[in-house]
This record gives sequence, structure tokens and C-alpha cells, in this order.
Amino acid sequence: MNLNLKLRREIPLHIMILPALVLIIIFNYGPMVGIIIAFEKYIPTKGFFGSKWVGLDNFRYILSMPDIQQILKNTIVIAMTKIVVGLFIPVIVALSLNELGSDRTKRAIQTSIYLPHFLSWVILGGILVDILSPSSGFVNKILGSLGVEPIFFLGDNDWFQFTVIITNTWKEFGYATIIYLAAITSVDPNLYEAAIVDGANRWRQTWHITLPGMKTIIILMTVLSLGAVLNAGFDQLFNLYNPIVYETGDIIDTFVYRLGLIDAQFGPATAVGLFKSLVSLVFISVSYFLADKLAGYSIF
Amino acid sequence: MKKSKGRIFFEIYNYSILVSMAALCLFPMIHVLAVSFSSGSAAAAGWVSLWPVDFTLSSYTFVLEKADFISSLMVSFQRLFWGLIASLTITIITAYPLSKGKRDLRIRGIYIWVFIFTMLFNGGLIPTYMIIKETGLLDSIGALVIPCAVNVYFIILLMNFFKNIPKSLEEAAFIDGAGHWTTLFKIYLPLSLPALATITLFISVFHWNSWFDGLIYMNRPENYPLSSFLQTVVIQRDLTFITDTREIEMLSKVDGKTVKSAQIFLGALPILAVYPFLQRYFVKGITLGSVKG
Amino acid sequence: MDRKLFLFFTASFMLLGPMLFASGQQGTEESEKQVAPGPFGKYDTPITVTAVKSVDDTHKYYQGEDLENNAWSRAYVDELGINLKYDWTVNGTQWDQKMNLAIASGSLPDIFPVGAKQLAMLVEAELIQPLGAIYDEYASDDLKEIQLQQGTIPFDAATFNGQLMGIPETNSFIDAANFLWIREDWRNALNLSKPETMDELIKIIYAFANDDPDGNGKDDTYGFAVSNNIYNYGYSSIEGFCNAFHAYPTIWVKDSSGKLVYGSIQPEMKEALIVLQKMFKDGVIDPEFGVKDRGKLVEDTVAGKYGVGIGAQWNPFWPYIQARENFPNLQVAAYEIPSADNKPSLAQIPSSIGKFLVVRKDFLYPEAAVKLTNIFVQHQFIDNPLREEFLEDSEKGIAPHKWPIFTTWPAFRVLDRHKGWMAVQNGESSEGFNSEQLDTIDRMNSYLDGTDDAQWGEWSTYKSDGPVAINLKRVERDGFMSNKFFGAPTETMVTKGSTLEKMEEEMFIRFIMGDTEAFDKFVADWKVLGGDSITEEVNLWANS
Repeated sequence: MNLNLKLRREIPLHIMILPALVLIIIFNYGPMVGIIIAFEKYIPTKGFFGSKWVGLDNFRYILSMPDIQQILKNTIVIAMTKIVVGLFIPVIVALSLNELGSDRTKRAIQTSIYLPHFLSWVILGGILVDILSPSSGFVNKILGSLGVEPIFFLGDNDWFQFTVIITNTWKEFGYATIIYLAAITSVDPNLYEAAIVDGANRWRQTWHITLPGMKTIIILMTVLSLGAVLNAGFDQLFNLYNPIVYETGDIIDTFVYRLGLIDAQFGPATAVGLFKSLVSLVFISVSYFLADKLAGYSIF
Repeated sequence: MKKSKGRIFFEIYNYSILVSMAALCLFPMIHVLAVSFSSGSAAAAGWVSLWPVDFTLSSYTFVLEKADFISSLMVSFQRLFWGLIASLTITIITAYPLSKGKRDLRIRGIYIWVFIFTMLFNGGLIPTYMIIKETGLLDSIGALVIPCAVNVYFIILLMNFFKNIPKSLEEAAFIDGAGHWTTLFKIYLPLSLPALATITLFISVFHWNSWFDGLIYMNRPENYPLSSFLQTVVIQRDLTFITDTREIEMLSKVDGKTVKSAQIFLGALPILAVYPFLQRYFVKGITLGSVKG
Repeated sequence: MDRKLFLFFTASFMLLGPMLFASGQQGTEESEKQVAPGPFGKYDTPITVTAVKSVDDTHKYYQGEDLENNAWSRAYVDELGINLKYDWTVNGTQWDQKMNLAIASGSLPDIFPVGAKQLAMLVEAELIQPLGAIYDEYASDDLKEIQLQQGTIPFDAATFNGQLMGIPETNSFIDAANFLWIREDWRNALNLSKPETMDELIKIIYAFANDDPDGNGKDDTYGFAVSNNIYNYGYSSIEGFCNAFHAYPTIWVKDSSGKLVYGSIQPEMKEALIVLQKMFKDGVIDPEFGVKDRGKLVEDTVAGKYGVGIGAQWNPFWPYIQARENFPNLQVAAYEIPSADNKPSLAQIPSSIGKFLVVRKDFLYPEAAVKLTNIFVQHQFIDNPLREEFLEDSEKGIAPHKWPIFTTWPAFRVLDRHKGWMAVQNGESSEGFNSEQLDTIDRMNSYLDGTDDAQWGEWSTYKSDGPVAINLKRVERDGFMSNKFFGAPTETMVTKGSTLEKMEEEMFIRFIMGDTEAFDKFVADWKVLGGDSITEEVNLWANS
């Protein structure tokens, strides 16, 4: 093929990308100009470029705040645990579901476990306070019948992060299961037949055929979620936390929200946001590199 | 095939675990439903668990006569409609070129990075708000649909799916004189229906559940999509400056738990009704880049 | 690739930069300014004024009307020549974020109401204009009279460097004072005496928790209603309880040397908290109170778990009338909060202004803000008789006073309703009573003659020995402690205030839950993290 023809061939491809490109330039790259206020004492009437430049003052101010270390720690602990738990559970559930004989039962269970995903945290927040209550909650009643002392899930700093992670998993595992189940269904049936001929039992089939068949998608999901290492879940925390668990429940995003939109400290809030973006950038770069090196997989 | 003893034990165990998981997931919605059909005082007292107490339809008649609830519901449907059109179109036409190799699209690497970068960095809420304002989208469905039409996550999912469509099909089409557009619509899309069904669901859920942007970009509560509206409903009011008894009387009437529950349930109903049917597609045939790396 | 990326960023930066830069500026009106002298002078050609407003689902309109088309908006146009257009409206709970976004993006309306903190921010950012001279010139005599009923405190809160920057929405300070609410059916069932002293009150609290006051044979009640919104002045808050110990949390009081000090960090506060801590330990406060907000406590009260709580005069309307549906025999009574020693207790009142009407800096018609408020006062209180279209339609639940851009209220509103009722009981004529007083008399009568049991809330609030009657006695004996700082929020309050408030609630809840170090730690932290500078600023204000 000569070069001209090749170029001509490419034109439609560029045209296809153009709309998305224009949109992200306007709505994603455009606002990045605003990052400048992280270094300013931002006065709205003076605009982004007329406000007073204060260098790293906003960052110093943030670092001087008493809670900042705790907030960072909370964010990372909650986010990392969510990633790990959120990876294993759906894979296991997908494998278990695959073992069910009856298609109708399978579908009924699937339909049920996806359900929480459709409810937003606004709604779940209210419901969870009810069912996790130490005195009258459903969960503690079950634990009580097993002889366990009531647990104060949403009001005890020893339990709060655990509760956040479990409820998040509960909400999302069904949804993630879709993807893994899909991967399982797409495994070539001939491979199983060959394995049965070789005398492999179900466990061995799972281990040697199903799991390797899911490998790529598992890596993809992991890598994509690693970029979220500082995303501990604004929607969830915002709707579940309360003053006594700020110590373990306040995260970067809730902090930025309060600082920026409630206290109107635009400069410092942007500074925290910028810091978060930079750290995320490092994490995601490292994880893409690892995925490529360890699994030989490049996501794009 | 005869089942071994161990297999039978496993299956019983497996069934019970999965069934109780399913029950656990259904519980909250059933609770909401039960509360919405209960009398106000029983619900406020917390006596309702999984079955209505003093069954009544009054909260539903109240909600269905509430103008702002109905208008929010309509806004949500509009958002869903336009959101699906915008996001699906963009996702499809962007995923296709990006699924090509470097041989077919030489600056693919740059494009990819330009897209990926937006997943890592954002300018924050206030500059974004200003852009939305400057583009004249404020207080329109556009503000809820256009800025989020490009979802890099969905694009990557579809791109990986496209990558697994055999190259030979495409080459055959080219030999027949088809261009990229024809190839995309005549060959890629028909082969990608399960993936498209999944992405359609992803997009729908995204639009249905988003609440924050509605609160920020819409200028009237009656223009809020349902999720934003519900957020304002379930939140608690500040009573510090309310001293008037008449005010409190009015608040206690609209703040009822059963009314909230009825709204929550009605808000979830459309998706609950639709999604079990979509499920058939995405469980059956989604490969999503899982055949090979 | 790196070079291309760099070019790309530069290009997009250049493309978007000017756009963002330009957006910070406000358009100014070109047309010539019309003159409309006097409090009620009309603009010959109607002017359009943009505004914003906080609304919620208690805002109801007659068929076919809405916020921009109703009795009040027609009065604005017909009588003043002011066409009010709302840039946006928002649910009250979203107000802060929507307003802050508008401030940050420089898209302010012409006239708008703001809270105290946003007022201070707007002043600092130089986004609004002074209104002192304009208020003096255009405010009607009736407006001035109503707004000055509680002295100049409301105006001090809006005065920065000697200039009035916003019109205060005056409200009745003392109507926010709290009372002790006790379920009388329980107290009688257990044969307990009325709480005259703190010891007697504590006895009642413990008995309600332990002695099965509802007689259902189950240990399912608590003693004292406290939620994690420990300061809310509404229900299940602790201010009133602290007052019994002469502690006045969240407000500024004078110490023995006359210096202003912050009530929450005084030793009296610790005493009050220690008593609460003991109650928590003994299980008479819900072990879960830390996760239960006020709404949850209301639910529990409706479910019959509580018989003692501290709250506002409107508690019969919420939560007790709902509880009464579940427990038809329920009776409640309001009491003065007994003192912990022999010094009588004072009820604290926030005496702060929640809202101010401000005018954007370049707006040509700042007097419109005053005129709009004049019209409100005129039609809401002064017209004789009041015009039909502005009266509440309680049958349809339509309250026209929710439609104006800005309202302002006389002091002692709730008190006046009670006084009206008492006057009629004493055989006086109801001539000259305002519409609110007549309304209360109507409702009280319909409860008493048995035609409308739903007026039980009205009855319990305004009756001769109800909470309002107690407040009247407090007025007579000067039984209130008001916030001695009533200026505009100081600089440090604006930047650090909410962090400190958050910390205070958190630490005090922890203290009640048994963390004995929490109080002293809070006091020390509070001072270091901005409290000391706030104290300094507050005293500077007091001395000026």
C-alpha cells in the first residue's frame, strides 16, 4: 500500500475521534486551566489570571490543618481495601454462579445481587443506619442470636471503615460479577470437553481453564481500579459518616467538598484536588507499567 | 453423569450461600416498599420491617400528585434518552478508531494518552462549572448529558471488544471496497450487540444515579433529575432559625418517612422494570476482550 | 510524542484562556437610571431585577401561579414597577454550595439573600455594595419600627467597617429558646413529682429509662433524648440542659472581668457534660446516639422510646403530635429547665440573624432591595384590613408569605399569639388583633369544642400553662442569656469557624460517650487552631 492511500484511509478514523476530542478539550482540558487557583488567593472578580499569586501558601495552609494526615490515611486504607475485596468477591461469586445447574435459579440470583447497584448512596445511607443499628437493626439481631454482642457499625471508629468496605462490596459485587460471568461464558467449550476427556474434575477445570480464561479481564479490572487509589468513594462516605467517625471516615473528597463548596476556600480546596490528581497519576502509571511487565498486557 | 458425594455437598452449600446473598441484596428494597405502604405513624415509629403495617396507599396518592416529583421524573427520562444517544454514539465512533493498530492509525498512542489523561486529572468543580456556564449549557439537559458523553472507561471496554473481532472480516470488507464507516456499521456493530447492550446498561445506570451534577447545574428544583431531587428529600433540614409553629406543622407533613419511601421506590421502579430483560443479552455473549490479551 | 502533547496543551490553554478570563467580569447596565423617590415610589418603566431564592416543598402556589407570578410578584410590578426574575432557585439544604459556586464564578444576581458567613465573604471579595444611606432614605417607618424592636443587634451583624452591607431578616430571638418536655402520662404512671430541681429531673430521667414507664413489661425506653446534632435548638439538643449548669455552649458570654469568652470552653460546660456522660454510661441515653441525628430521635420519640427531651416551643407539632397517633393517651407538658444549683437558670438564645438581603456591587438600583422589603411589611402587617390575597389559606396549605424575595418579622410573634388567646380567655375583645392571633384563637377553639383534634399541637403550645406561657415568664424575669457577640463574623470565624464547630461536636459527643480526655483536649486544640484569634477579634469588636 502506498503512503497516500494509507493516509487517505486514516482520515475517516480521525473524523470519528474528532467529536470526542472536541468534547474533552472543552469539558476536561478546559477546566484544567482553573488549577491555577491552587496557587492563588482567588478573588472571583479578578478572575483566574488577575488574582494574587501566593505560590505554595495554600499547600502550606492545608498541611498545617490538624486532620490532614488522618484524612490521607483514611483515604488510602479505605480505597485500597475496597479495590482488593472488590476484586476477589466478584470472581468467586462468578465462579460459584457458574456451578449452578439451573439457569432459572442462576438468573434469579443474578437479578437479585445486581439490585443494590441501582440504588444510590443517598437512599442506601438512610436504609443502612436502620438495618445496622446495634439495638434494633436486622444485622445485629442475627448476630445476637449467634451470641455476639451488638456491634456499633456506623458509630465505632474500630468498625466504621470495615462497615464502609463491606457495604460498598455488598452494593457493587453483583455488578462486577456481570463482567466476570461474561468472561466465563465466553470460554471455548471445546477446552472443557478436552479436559473431561483427560479426566480433569470440576476443580481442575476451574483452575486450569476457567480462571486462565478470565485472566485478561481480571487484570484489566485491577489496573483500571488502581487508578482510583485515592477515590475512597465520596457518595458513600458523604451519606454514611457522622461526627463521631470523622476520625476514620473523613476522606480527601469529603474534605475538598467541605472546604470548597461549604467554606468557600477555593484556593486550598483546589490545592488538595491537585495533590490528589498528581498522586493518582503516579499510581496509575506504575500500575499500567506493572500490568504490562507482569501480565504482558497493555490495556490500550 | 452421576454426581459424587462431594459434588452434592458442594452444590447444597453453594446454593445456600448464593441464595442468602441474593436475599441480603433484596432486603433493603423490600423494606422501602413495606414502609411506603405503611401508615405514617407506624413507619415513623420504626415498626415496619419487611411487611407493611396498617396498609395504606396514601403516600402514593400524595407523591403522584406532587408536581415536583413528576417533573423530576420527566427530567430523568429526558436525561436518560439524550444521555444514551450522546454517550452511545460517542463511545462507538471513538472506540472504533482506537481499536485499530498503530499500522492503521499512526498517532493512536497520542490519542490514547489524551483520553487517558482525563481519567487522571480534572480541573475541579468550579472551573468546570464556569465552562458549563460559558458554553450556555447551564440549566439545560445538555449540562447533564454533553460533558459526560465521553466516558473513557466505556470507550476502553468497547475498544477491547472491537479488538477481538477477527481482522479477516475487516480486510474482506476493505477488499469489497467498503470504507471505515461501512465497516463499523455493517460488520463491527452487528457483531457487538451484547457489548452494546452492556454499555447501554452502564450508561443508563450512570445517568439514572447521578445526583451531584443535577444539583450544581440546574437552576430550578423542578428541573432536577430524580436522583438529585431525592437527595434533597432524604436530607435533613436546618431548623435553627425556624421559630414559627406554622412552619413546623407544614414541614412535618411533607417530611414523612412513608412519603420518602414511596418516592425512593418509584424512582427505582423504571430501571428495576427494564434491567432484568437486558440481562439476557449481557450474560449470554459478552467477551469484552477476554479471548486474548 | 512529548513535544506534540506539549503543543496540544498550549493550544487548548490559549483557546480557553481568554474565555475564562473574560467570565470573571460582570456586565453593567447601560441604560440611564430612573428615579423613583420615597419608600413606595414607582419606576415608570418597570425595571427588571434578577434574584435568587431558597425554596422547598412547603412552597405552594395557587393553580397556574408560581414563584414569578403570584400576589407578591404582582404587587412588586404594580406598586413599585419592579419585575423580579429569578436566576435560580434551590432547595434550602443546597443553598451554600449553589451560592458559593455563583460567587466563585462571578455570576451574581442583582439582589439576593445570604447567610452571615457568605455576607462576610462577599464583603471581603468586594462583590456587594453598602446600603446604609439607601436604607435610611428609602426604608418605610413601619419597616424601621419592626426591624428595631430588638434593638440594633440585627444591624450590627451586617455592619462592616461602619457600613451596613445587608438588610437583616429580623426574627423573634426569644422564640428560639428551649424547654424541658416531659411525657406526663409516664410521669403520672410512675408517681413522680414535677421536676422542680435538677435532682428531681434526673430522677425522672432514670425512672423513665428503668421503670417501664409505658407499662408494656419491656425494657424498651430511654431516659433522655439526645441526638448527634447536639446543638440544634429544635429537638434532642443539649443547649438547654447545659443552661441548667449555667453553661452556654456555642454563644459568647461575659466572664467576671467583662471580657467576652466562648461558652463551650468554660468549666461549667464540663460539669454539664459530665452529667450527660454518666447518663450515657448508665444507659439512660441511647448507646447509639452518636449515629442518630435529630430525625432519628424524632422517630424514636414517635415510637414511644422517650419521655424527656429538650426542645423548642413547637415540639407538640413535631414530634409529639405524631407520637400521639401511636399512643392516644399521650400527654406532654413543658417545664422551665430546673437549675443545677440555687441560682435560677437562664435560657440561651442564639440572637443571630440567619439571612441578609444584599445588592451586587454594580447594580444601578440598590434602593429596590429596600422597597421590596417595605412592600412586604406593608402588606403582611400594616394594611388594615390585610388584603385577602396575602393571607394564609390553611385549608389548601398555601402560605403567601413564602413567596416574597425577602421577609422580615416582628419580635415576639409566637408570644403575641399566646397573649391574644389569653386576652380572649380573660374576657377581652379580640378587636385589633392581627391575623396570626385570630388564627390561633380559631384553632384553639376548634380543639376545645372537639371539632378538630388535629389542633392538639396548637393547643399544647399556646395554652395557659404551655411553653409560650413559660417564655412569657422568662421575659418578665429577664430569664434569657443572649449571644453577647452579635457583630458580623470575624475573619478567623469565616476561615476556621466551621472546622472548629465540627471539632466541637465531635469531641463533645466523644466525651459523653466516655472519652474523659476529650473535653480538655478540645479546649486546648480549640485555642490553638483559631479559637484564640477569634476571641481576640471578638473582644476587639466588643471594645470598639
